[in-house]
Amino acid sequence: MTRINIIKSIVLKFSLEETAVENFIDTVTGKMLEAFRKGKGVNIPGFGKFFVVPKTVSGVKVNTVAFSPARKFADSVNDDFSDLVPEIISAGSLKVKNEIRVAEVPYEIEGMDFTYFVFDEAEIQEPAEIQEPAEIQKPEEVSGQSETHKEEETLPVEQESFEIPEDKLTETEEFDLQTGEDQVMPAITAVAEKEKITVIETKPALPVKQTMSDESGYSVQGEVPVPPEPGLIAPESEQDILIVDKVITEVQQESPEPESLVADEDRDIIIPGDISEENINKEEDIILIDVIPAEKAGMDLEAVGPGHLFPDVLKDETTSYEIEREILDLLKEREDLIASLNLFVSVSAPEKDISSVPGETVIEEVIAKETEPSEKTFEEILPEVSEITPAEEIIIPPSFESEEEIHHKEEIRPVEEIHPEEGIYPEEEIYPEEEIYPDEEIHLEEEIYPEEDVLQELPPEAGYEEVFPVETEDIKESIEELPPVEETTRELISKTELDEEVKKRIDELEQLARLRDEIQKEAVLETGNKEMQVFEKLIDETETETETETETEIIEIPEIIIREQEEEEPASLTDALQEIDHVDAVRQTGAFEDTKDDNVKSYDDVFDTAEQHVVPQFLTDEGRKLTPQSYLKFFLYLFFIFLLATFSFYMYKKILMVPDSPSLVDTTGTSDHDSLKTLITGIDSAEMQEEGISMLEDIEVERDGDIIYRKMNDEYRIQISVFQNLADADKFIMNLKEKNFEAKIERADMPMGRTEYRIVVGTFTTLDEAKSYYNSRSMILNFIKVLTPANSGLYLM
Amino acid sequence: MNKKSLFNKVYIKSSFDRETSAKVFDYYFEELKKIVICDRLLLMDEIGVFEVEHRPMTTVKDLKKGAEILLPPKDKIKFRPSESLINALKD
Repeated sequence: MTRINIIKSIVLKFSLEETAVENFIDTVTGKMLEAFRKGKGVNIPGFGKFFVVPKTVSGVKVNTVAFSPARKFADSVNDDFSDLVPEIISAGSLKVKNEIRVAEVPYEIEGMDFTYFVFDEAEIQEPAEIQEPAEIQKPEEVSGQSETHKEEETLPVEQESFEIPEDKLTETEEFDLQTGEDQVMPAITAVAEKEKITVIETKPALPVKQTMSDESGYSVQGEVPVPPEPGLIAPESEQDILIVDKVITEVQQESPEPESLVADEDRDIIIPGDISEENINKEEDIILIDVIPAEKAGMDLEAVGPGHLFPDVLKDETTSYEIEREILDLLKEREDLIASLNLFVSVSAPEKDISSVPGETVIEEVIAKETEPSEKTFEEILPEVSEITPAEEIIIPPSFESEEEIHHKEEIRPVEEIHPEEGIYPEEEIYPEEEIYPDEEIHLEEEIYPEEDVLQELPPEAGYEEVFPVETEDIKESIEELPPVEETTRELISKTELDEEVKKRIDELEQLARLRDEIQKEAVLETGNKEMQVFEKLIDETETETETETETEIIEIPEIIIREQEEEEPASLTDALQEIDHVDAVRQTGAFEDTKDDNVKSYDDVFDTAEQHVVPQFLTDEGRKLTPQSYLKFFLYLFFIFLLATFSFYMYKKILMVPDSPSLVDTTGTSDHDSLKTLITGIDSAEMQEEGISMLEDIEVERDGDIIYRKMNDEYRIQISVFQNLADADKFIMNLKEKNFEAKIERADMPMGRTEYRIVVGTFTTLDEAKSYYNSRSMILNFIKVLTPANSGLYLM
Repeated sequence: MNKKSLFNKVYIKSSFDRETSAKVFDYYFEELKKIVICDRLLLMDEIGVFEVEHRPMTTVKDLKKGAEILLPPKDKIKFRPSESLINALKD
C-alpha cells in the first residue's frame, strides 16, 4: 500500500508517467540492495543511514541491515518528549557534580539550542552561608557587652534579619554611656587613653537594661539578669567619678615618681648606724636597700675609720699622697659630670640647669643643717660634721677649679692664715669650715683635735668618742663662741659666685672643645697627601685644570701627556712614510730631546714613585708601526708558505700516491690500444661485474660539453658524468635507476694512477637516436646531476 | 554509498531528465519520512519495516558505578530488515 501511495503522489505532483515512476523507485531500491549485498552502507542525508552489520543467529554469522535515523528525523518523531532530560537519581560511587542547568532562552521557543550555565556545588552553597545573620553580631563586638548579645538572641526571627545601620550603632554606644552619666564620659575616655583597665572596671556598672529598652525599634523581651560583680558600685554619676579618681590614684602609686627618690636622697646623708627606729618605716627600709650609694658611703666611712673623717690627724706622707690621688680622681669625675652638664646646658637654658647640679643641692642641704640652732651639743652636731667632712660630698667650689688653680691658691694664701700643719693636710683646702671660720676659731677647733701621739696610740678603727674622751666642756664653750653659721656660709658660697664659676668653667670647656676641633682639622690637613699639594701646584702652573683632583684622576695624567705627543693622522700612505722617516731621523740625531720644552713638567718629572717606571709602557711602540720593511717581510712570509704548500702537494702526488695498477687504458681510445681490449676483459673481475661496473673501453665519438657520446661494438652510449669516487657514482646510478634510466658505471684507469667512474646511459644503435634520447631527457638528467654533485678532489687541479 | 552516487546510478537507468529525477528522488525520501512520522509505520517490500516505538520512562543503573539514572519517555524509530533482504545478504 505504501509503495502505491507514494507512486501516486509523485505522479500527481510532477505529472509523470506512472510506469516511469515505478521503474525509478524500483531502481532506487534495487541499487540499495546491490549496495547491501556488496556490504556497503547507504547514507541519505536527512533520512538516515543504513549499515550492514554482522550478526550471530544460533551460532551462525549473518549480515543484517541496521538503520540509524537522522537527528532531525528522530527529533521530529520524538517531538512530544524532546524537552525531557535524563536525571541521576542516586549517584552511588559516581563523582558527579550537582549541577543546576539554567536555560538562557525560555523553552517556549522551539528549534533553539539552549545554552546552559553550569554551577558547581561549592558555588551554590556559598550564598547560603552568606545569608546567615552574622552582621547582627557586629554591634555586640563593637560594644564588647555580652549582655546585649544574649538579648538579641531572644529577639524574634523577623528582627534577626534586620540589619542595624552604622549610624544607629554609634547612637547605641553613645546612649549606653550617656544614660545617667554624661559627665563621666570624658573622664572614662581620658583614663581609657592611659589604661584600659579603668574602662573595663567602669563598664559593668552601666545600665544595660535601660539602654536597650529605651531604644526605639529594639524591644527587649524579658529582663536579662546582669550578675553584679563584687567591689562595684551602682551606676551613679558621682560615685563613678570617685571610682575613676581612685583608679587614677592607684595608677599613680604603682609607678614610682621622682618625688619619692628625692626623699630618698635626703636619706643618703643618714649613716645607717645612726638611724633610729622611729625614722625607719617599711618603705624607708626598702628605699635604703635600694639606694646603694648612700650605704656604700657609710660603709666606706666605717672602713676607713675616724682618720678619714678627721684628716688633720693623719700626718704620714704616704697616706696624704693617697688622699691627694683620691681627691684628684674625684675632681676628674666632677669635671666629667660638669662636661656632661655643659652639653645639657648648651641645649636648654643654662641658669636653670645649673641650679639642678646635685652637688649644689647637697651644699644647700648642708647649709640648711648648719643653720639649725647652734645651741645643739657637740654630740648632736658632730654627726652632721662627720657628714660634711667626707670630701666626696662637700667639695664643690674647688671642684670647678683645676689642680693648678688649687696649688695657685695655696701659694697666694698668706702664711699667717695657714696652719703650720696645714701643708700636710691638703684636704683642708676643701673644707668649707676652714674658710668659714676665722683663723682664731679654727685654731681653737684644731686644738680640739687630739694630738698625733694620741692617735697613734689609739686603734685605727676607734670611734669618735674614744678618740675624744674628754674636753667636751671646752668644746661646748668653743661652739658657743663660734659666729653664726648662716652669715659666713652665705658670704662665701653664694649662688652668684657658683653661677659665675660654672659659667667660667663652661666657657673654658667650650674653648677647649673648639681648640680640639681646630687641632684635629689641622692634623688632618697635615697628614694629607703631599703629592696632592704638589700636584695642585703643578696644575696651577700648567693651567690645565683649575679644580683640585682626586687620586683617581691622578692616574689619568699619563693620558694627557700622551695626547701632547700624538700627531694628526696622515692623509695618505706616502705622507705617513715621510713622517715616519722624519721622526726616525730626528730620533737618530737626538734633536727630539733638544726640542723638548723645559717649562712643561710631566708626571714623571714631578713624582719619583713606582708609577714612574710603569708609565712609559703606555707610550707608543715604535716597532709596531708599519714600515716598507714590514710589508716586505709579510709578503716574503706568504710566498714562503705558498712554496711550502706546493712542494708538499707535489711530494704527496709523486711519492705518497702510488697507483694500484699500471695505466692500461687510454682515455682517448685510439687504435694504438685496441689490443688492450682483451686485457681489459681479463681484468674485469667478477666482483666488478657484481657491482655493475664494466671496464670496457670505448671510443669517444662526439662531445657536447660534459656529455660524451661513446661507441663500442657498434653501440652508442651517453656518458653523463664522471666521478673519481665510487660512492658518488653509486649514488648517481641509484638516482638514475629510480627514474627508469638504463645506466651503469664504467671504470677507466687513467694516467698518473687515477681512476674514473663513468656514468653511461643506454645503448643506442645510431648516434642520432642517442642524441634525440638525451635531448628529450636532458632536463631530468641535469636535475639528477645537480642533486648528486661529485666530491671535489685534488685531481681537478 | 552516498546519496550522490546512488542518484547517479538511478539517473542512468531512469527515463527522466536529471532535474526531474533529482526532484523525484528527494521527494521519494521526504514522503517516506512523512509516512513514518504520521503513520508511525512504513512498509518497504524488499527492504524492511520502519516502525516508531514508544519507550516509557525507565530507571537505568550503571553497574560499574552504581548510579541510577532516570530516563524520560521517548519515541524511537526502529528498522527491521525484511526476510528477503536477509536472504539476499546470505548469498
